[in-house]
Amino acid sequence: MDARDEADLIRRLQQRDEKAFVLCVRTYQDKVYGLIYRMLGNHAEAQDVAQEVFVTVFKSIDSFRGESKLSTWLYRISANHCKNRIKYLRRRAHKTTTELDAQAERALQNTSGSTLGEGQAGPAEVLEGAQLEQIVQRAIGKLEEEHRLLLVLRDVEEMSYEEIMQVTGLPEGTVKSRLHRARQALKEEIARHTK
Amino acid sequence: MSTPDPPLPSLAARPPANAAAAGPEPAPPGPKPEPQTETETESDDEGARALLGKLNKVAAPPDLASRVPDLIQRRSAGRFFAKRRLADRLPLEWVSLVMLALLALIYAVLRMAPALLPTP
Repeated sequence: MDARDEADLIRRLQQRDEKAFVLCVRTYQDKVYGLIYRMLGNHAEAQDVAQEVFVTVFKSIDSFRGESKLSTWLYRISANHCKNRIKYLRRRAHKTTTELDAQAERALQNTSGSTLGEGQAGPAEVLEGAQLEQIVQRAIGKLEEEHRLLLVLRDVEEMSYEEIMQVTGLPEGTVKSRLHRARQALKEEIARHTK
Repeated sequence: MSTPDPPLPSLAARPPANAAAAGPEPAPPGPKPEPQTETETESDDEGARALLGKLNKVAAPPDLASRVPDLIQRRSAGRFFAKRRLADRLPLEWVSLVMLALLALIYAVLRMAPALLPTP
């Protein structure tokens, strides 16, 4: 979506145009859902939070000043909702289940061979990839929410530092140092899981 | 619009949405030394980056785009995105005019009917 289309979409969203809103959800739902799922590790929670994110967009679109891209603003709302949800779940002593069985099943059904590798993957590779994905997802779930967010934004969503700074509101140096610590923590968690 | 705001849930009860993104924060004290340069951090973290980069892209549920407007419609008590019936969408003035025209036509037909009928 180029800048002109985005400006037009924002204008229509501010007019509470339903078609524009549906277009907005369709355009950004995978990005938003991907971030939320990686942060929470649970599809049911991710679906619920993704809905809340778009409801917030609907409520707050008038306050969007267009100083950043709409997608960056959406990521920011998603990140804040995720942090709130993680705190809420922690308060409720909710065990963050990562839906490992369901995910493994989905990965096995994924015939595109895109699970952790290029080209055609055999069942063994797919299973291995699914297991590795489970381990990584579980390790992400053990990290602090700020670390999870930075890892997902930078290494999964492949965002630039500039965009990450806009999403998190952190200065570049802080982003980089926290990202480094997050990766170290992830490696330690994975090592713990694979022992 | 003079009507009050819809009863959408407020985030006010939760921690402030931008609390975690309030701005520069001092790095927390800890025994681990801070990496100094980007090259240092990037090269050190290559393994973790590669692992995360290989994770599957997760697609949103296909019905999300239809569920969200429904949720907004429900929470706003029908003020936004309500599924309106045909009768609600047609302007009353136009319906009245059409009905009057129809009545006039029926009246004219009835008036002309004796003249159209063949005389015995």
